[in-house]
Amino acid sequence: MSAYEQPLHDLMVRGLRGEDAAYRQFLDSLSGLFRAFFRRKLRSRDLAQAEDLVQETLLAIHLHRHSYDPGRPITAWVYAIARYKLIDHLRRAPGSREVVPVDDVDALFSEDARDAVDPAHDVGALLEHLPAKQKTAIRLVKLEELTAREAAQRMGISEADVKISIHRGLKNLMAFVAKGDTP
Amino acid sequence: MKTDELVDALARDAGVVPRRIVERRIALAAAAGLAASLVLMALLFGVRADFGAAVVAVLLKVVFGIAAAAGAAPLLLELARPNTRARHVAVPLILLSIVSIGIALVAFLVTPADARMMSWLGGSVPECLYRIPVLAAPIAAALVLAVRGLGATRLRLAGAAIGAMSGSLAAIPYAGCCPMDSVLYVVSWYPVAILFCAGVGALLIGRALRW
Repeated sequence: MSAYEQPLHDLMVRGLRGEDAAYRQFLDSLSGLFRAFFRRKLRSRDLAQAEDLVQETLLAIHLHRHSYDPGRPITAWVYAIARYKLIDHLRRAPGSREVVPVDDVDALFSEDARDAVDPAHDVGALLEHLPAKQKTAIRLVKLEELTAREAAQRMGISEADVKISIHRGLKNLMAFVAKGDTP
Repeated sequence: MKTDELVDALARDAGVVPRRIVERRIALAAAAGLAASLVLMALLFGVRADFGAAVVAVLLKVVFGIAAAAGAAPLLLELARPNTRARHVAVPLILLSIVSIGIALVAFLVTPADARMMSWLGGSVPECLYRIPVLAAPIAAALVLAVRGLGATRLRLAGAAIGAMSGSLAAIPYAGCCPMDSVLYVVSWYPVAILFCAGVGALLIGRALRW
């Protein structure tokens, strides 16, 4: 089992309980691992494209974190998502026929790359293409330091509505980044 | 937006995630689908006329459906999410298939030779082969809705698991209209119908689960 299993599991479980700092650290650790993994798999053809995949995969991790069961290995769960995103990307790139093994979890947990580059597609700019409510909810809660409750008051909608808007907005963002162009 | 800014944004006010969402969503969908399937059975095929007299046989067939669903459940719960360990979750279903084949063999041996064909086929093409898939449709639809958004990564297998689960559950309402009570019939044709559902699921549902 990877040396990453225990620390990542710990961070994720604390994150699911609502500890944002632990969750932040979890995502941050993953971004370095994803970067090294995608660069290797794309053979560093395009660093910006690899960075897009890093962001897209982080979004996917976040959007599916409710399906993580703490009784199962976190490294395998993370690898499954990264692999899915990689295959999805390769499928769109014509001519590439790389085989990505289902079980090769260690491929993701062998190398760390902290030298972030700018992504090819700016998630922040893509925000502009979201419906107004989703855009505002994400901006207030995710970019300005408001809580969902404060954002709800400012927007004049319910707190649940804010959370749903954020979730839908992030989903749309993930789709935009994946498509690689604006809608 | 740089990646560390994205990480900050995602983690900010991320909140608490309730536990066991996958299990609860799937259980809810299965229950809703099963209810719809029961209604569909009553409307399309009608409860068998001798239901009162055949209650024991009906219950035994219901038990078969429940056992099959219990066997398919670990597979579905695993494949509905980013897949981590798919192999050993197939064990219950494999064991169940072996038991099923064993029962079929015993039933075959204890049935008098001249009654075997009747007991096995019921005189024509087994109608459960199309009735179970029809009754499985609403269950499968509900399960697809539940499983979408959970992040399945092995789509074909997940589709097959949804198919197998809905076919197994559909055996429960189907028991209410199935006129064949012979053990040989049930343990040979019900599994074929469930397998068919799994195959259709792999082909059709897998695609619907893309994200």
